[in-house]
Amino acid sequence: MELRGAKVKQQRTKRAIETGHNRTLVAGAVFGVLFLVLAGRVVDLSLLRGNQEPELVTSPAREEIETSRANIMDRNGILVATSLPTDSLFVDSKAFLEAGEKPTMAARKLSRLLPELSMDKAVKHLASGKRFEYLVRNLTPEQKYQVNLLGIPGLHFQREERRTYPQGPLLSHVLGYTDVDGRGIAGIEKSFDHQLRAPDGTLQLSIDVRVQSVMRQALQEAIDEFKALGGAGVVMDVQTGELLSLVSLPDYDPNDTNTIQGDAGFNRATKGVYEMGSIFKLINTAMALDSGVVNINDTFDASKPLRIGRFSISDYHAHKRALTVPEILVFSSNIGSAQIALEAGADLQREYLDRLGLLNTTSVEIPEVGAPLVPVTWRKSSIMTISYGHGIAVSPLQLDSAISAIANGGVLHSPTLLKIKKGEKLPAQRVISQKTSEQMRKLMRLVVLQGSGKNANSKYYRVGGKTGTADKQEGGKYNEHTRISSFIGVFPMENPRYAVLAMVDGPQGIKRTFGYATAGWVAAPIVKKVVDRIGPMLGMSPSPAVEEAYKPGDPLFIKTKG
Amino acid sequence: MTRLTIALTAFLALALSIAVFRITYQVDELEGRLHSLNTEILDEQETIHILKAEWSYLNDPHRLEVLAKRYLGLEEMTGEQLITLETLDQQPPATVENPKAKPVKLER
Repeated sequence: MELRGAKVKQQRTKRAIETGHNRTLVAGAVFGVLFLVLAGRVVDLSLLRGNQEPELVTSPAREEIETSRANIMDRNGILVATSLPTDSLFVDSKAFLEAGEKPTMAARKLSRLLPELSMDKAVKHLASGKRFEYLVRNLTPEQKYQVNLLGIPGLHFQREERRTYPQGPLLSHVLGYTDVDGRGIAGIEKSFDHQLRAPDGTLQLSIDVRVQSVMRQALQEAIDEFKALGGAGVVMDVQTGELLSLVSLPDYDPNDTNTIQGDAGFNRATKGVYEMGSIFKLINTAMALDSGVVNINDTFDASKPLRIGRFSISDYHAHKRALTVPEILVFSSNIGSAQIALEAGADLQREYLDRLGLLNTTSVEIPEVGAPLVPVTWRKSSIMTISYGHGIAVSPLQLDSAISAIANGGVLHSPTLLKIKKGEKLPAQRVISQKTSEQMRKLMRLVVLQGSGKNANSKYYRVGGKTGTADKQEGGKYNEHTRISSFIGVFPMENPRYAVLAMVDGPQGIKRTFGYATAGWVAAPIVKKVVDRIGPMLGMSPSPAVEEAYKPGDPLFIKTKG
Repeated sequence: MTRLTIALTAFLALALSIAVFRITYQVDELEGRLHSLNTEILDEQETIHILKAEWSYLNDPHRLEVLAKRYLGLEEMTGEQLITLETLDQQPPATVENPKAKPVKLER
């Protein structure tokens, strides 16, 4: 019995030892595996992936802060539109009422600080019981501080962005503006709305704010002096089609859309179409010379007015003799121009106008573009009146790009508001021959030296151009007392770089100009002023002082007197 | 021997845990600083953004023109103020204050 007992005990002990052994082994194995994994990981980290450690430091990577709408810059990188952070005040009316505040008391305090908030509106919003109700949007930091000082419960601020135009009204018609939620409503803001909302959608315009400022100021001075309704100004690079300036007056401050009143929102430079008058004689002459219908020595009888049906065409400065082609342009003879146009005929006239882009709506990067008004049926009278810029209405921008093409060697570029990068290939169309363009440059220079454009003659840069004075139509009749006075000048004439157009709508004659309000008195001085100032700005060296005069016998020789 | 080992192990464990705690706290502190620095950077960037807009506003060409005329006596630049290197010595000498002074000959 005892022996059996001892044996059982022995067996039990043995089993226990075995179990212990196994358990230790399993535990050891598990730990061994885990340590192996750890060792492997250490080797992996230290030897194999030593320099691929993830970067722990996260820092703001970009220099610029993220805004919901990208910046717009001018061609020199000056900021012209940006989004600035602001705070909008809203009320959690439930919390406000639960705190036991009196709406009238709080409203009185608030409307004293915030002039745009009326008492009634404040009371209504404060007592509404809604969780979210805007009180005033886009507060100034000072206003925010003052509101915080009041310590009214339930008032909170929401961070928002507000579109800001640092130059104010300077680029209003180019940039357009946005609504309170930052959506583009007009101008570049509208046409590039999608791009501006995308990250890194910064736009660089072809506009130069300095040139824009000079043009706007010169135009404004003329409008004030001649009590005009408005005006437009365009400066275009004739080699690329880039617009350095695009002004339409009156304008508005895009920072404050309440200033868009009357025709301030109307873009006269691109949306408005006008009968531009005698500037069209340049196109008429270019057409006639380029197609070979007339040559520069031909003469036309301008001694008596032309009769066509009920109308008669007469000259503003009558010469009562036969005029050569250069004389017709320099003296701005309607009679002569009409005869040249009749030689050419309707088809040729239409073809050249079409080539110069005057029959179709211009393509430019803003939505405010006006379609030209052209005759439906091209009668004989249309041919004659179009030759001197009546019976066809185009936008100033359109005309500027057409005249650029005539002066730059005969290549038409479509106008653009975006800066063209160096080396970028430009779509261009040849519209007239190089030779015709050269002749036209000489003729344009003659107009400024001897013709109606004398007031545009800059001392430093050779300007060539043409005046245009057109009576405005009112109720189907031409009114002599409301007119469009415009001048287009290209400079420097020896190697054209820029085409400057100034248009004044409805100038009134004044004492200084002996009661005249014609283009030579109103618009030509604007162009001179602009050329004189932007020439040095754009780093252009002045034209050579000595200019060869044409001698008698040269077709370009013009005797002014007699 | 065993006692020594135990004492050493205990000491090491204590020292290491203290070191680990210290490092953890240091990392926490550094992360806090990093966060506040990042916030500061964002604030500064926002300020810069606003200042850039203000710079652009203050540099409005018309405003500068008025200020330059009023305080600096500067006038608008004209074409005659631009010359090329070729025409440099053809320029008439600038107004000479002392009539006896000879005009300086410019070397190219």
